[in-house]
Amino acid sequence: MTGKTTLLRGWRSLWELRPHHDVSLAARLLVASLIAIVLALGLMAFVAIFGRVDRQGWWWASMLPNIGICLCIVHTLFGVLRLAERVLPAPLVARMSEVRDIRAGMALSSLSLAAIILGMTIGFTIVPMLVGFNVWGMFISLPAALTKFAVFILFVLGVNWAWWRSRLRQQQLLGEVTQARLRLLQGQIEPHLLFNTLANIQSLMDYDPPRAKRMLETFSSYLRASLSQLRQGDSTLEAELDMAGQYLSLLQIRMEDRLRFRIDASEEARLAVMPTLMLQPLLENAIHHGLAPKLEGGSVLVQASVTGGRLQVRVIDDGIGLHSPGASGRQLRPGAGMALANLRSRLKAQYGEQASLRLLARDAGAGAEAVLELPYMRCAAASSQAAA
Amino acid sequence: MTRALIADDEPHLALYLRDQLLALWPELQVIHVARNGVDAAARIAELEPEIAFLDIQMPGLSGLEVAQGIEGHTRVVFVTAFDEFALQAFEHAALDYVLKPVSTDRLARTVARLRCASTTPPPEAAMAQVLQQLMATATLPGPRLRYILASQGERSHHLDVANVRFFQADDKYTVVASVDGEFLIRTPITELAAQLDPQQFRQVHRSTLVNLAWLEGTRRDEASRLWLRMRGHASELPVSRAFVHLFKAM
Repeated sequence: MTGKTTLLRGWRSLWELRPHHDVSLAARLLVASLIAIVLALGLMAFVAIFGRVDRQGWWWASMLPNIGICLCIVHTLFGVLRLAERVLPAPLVARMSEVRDIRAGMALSSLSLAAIILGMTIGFTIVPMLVGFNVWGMFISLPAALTKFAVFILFVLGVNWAWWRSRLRQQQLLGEVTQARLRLLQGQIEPHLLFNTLANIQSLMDYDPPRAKRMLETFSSYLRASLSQLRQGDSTLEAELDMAGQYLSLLQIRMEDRLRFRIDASEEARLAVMPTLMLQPLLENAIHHGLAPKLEGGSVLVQASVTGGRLQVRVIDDGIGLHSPGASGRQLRPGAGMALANLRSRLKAQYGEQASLRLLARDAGAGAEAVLELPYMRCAAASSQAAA
Repeated sequence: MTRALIADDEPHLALYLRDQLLALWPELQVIHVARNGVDAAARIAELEPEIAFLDIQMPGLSGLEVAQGIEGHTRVVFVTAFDEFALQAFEHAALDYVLKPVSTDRLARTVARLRCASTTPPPEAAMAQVLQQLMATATLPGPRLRYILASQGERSHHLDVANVRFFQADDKYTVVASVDGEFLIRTPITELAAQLDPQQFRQVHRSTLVNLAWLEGTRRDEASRLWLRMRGHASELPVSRAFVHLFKAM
């Protein structure tokens, strides 16, 4: 079992360019030798099947020289790659080993091709000395075998190229997905919130240990809820409201009497399917732009209901409002206006014209209200859960 | 004896900072702990502490706005949990700042700097530049504001900005001090500053925007505060520390 995994790791390590390998040299040499033997036998089988072999006992006579030549080729190839790791500057090696752009791939391919040619030259020089007859002459004298060999090399290059292209594409896709997730995560675990919470816990540990403990617990639940939300594309309003509750409780421990909140949703609404992390940015807006700049603070109300087959979620605050003269504090966070635009584009991508998000001023400039409307879809898993 | 003021909307954070500061700097006297920007600004004006530790995100006035309104010699140290843009700006302009959660090593370095720098004046020009940059009062492209429409009861007045001596923030309104009298408008100072010609109108204080065409001269009082005299206007206007460098004699 361990032997198998060592060989597997040795195999992977052979193809990677990096300054330090965590697999022993012996394992890698063994794997390279196995590759050489398989390659030699494969090539011979290819010639035996497609070429016209006119001599008796050809297979046994040429097996050892063939294996010898392939050993030379394979070990030279990997030797050159290992040499490249040591000799070339580290940043260049890193760039070549990550399949990012076409130039890195070309450089790596050319290096390998040069190494193979060098290996062949060495093999065709050394092996005849050992076996005592001119392998090269024999090889040259078989035009059919030579052509087949050339076709084979082209075929291998083509396969290699296609494989490399697909790997490049795959890595690009993976990169895009990871980036999108990272952006969401970054919005979720906003550094200001993170460090402020830590600062609070630091000071509360001295002055109010029970509150520090409560804060740590609430923060853990919030993080856990956020991370599990991140792993899925669609969520339920129930899960979103749960996370909203954790977030608001966390802020309440910090803002004390300056923040009050209430979450008010019908059972039917709680079962609704909705995109994940839609509610959170609306709450952040209400707190940062509505309540935080206001001396006496205020309250946040989250309401959700279903009417006429549509889910309506409202986030209402009684903060400084949208056009307050003293609202210069809202300029403090550049990019804050991005949140709404971001949500709108996510809604449009998923629901087209079926969903909407509006930001309204409350009467007399006393606060703001964000209204999110979606087609109502009941979550199957949640309804069976509710039944049980 | 060095006196300091601490402002943070979360009281226990302010207390913690105070205790950490006192442990590192026993001679420091913390004379007031403010819970919001308005209180901080008032107490700084009244008590004139040598150092003010200002949290950036505070209700009422932000730490940056409080700093913009300081007229005396108070040296500002900004306190923040995380504010990418602000931290970059502070670092670039070599301004003092403290990060939350407070690290004792880091705070010790800031304290050492403050102790030996208490004799040298803080970098005013750098501070003004950073504040302006962070308050995002970038002048808007396009046509400049030439007239102000101010309402007064049932009637409204059409005022040429050339006739305005200065604008001054007053609670929820902005006072327009014009040749024709004083009027109230709702547009905040920062918004006006962005719409008016920066060559003609200069912000000299968090709450004051003056028309340079009406500037008569300056006066430095015994506390080395700077005041502006405006032509045709009896009282003088204070210049905050951050903007003093705009009026250096040639």
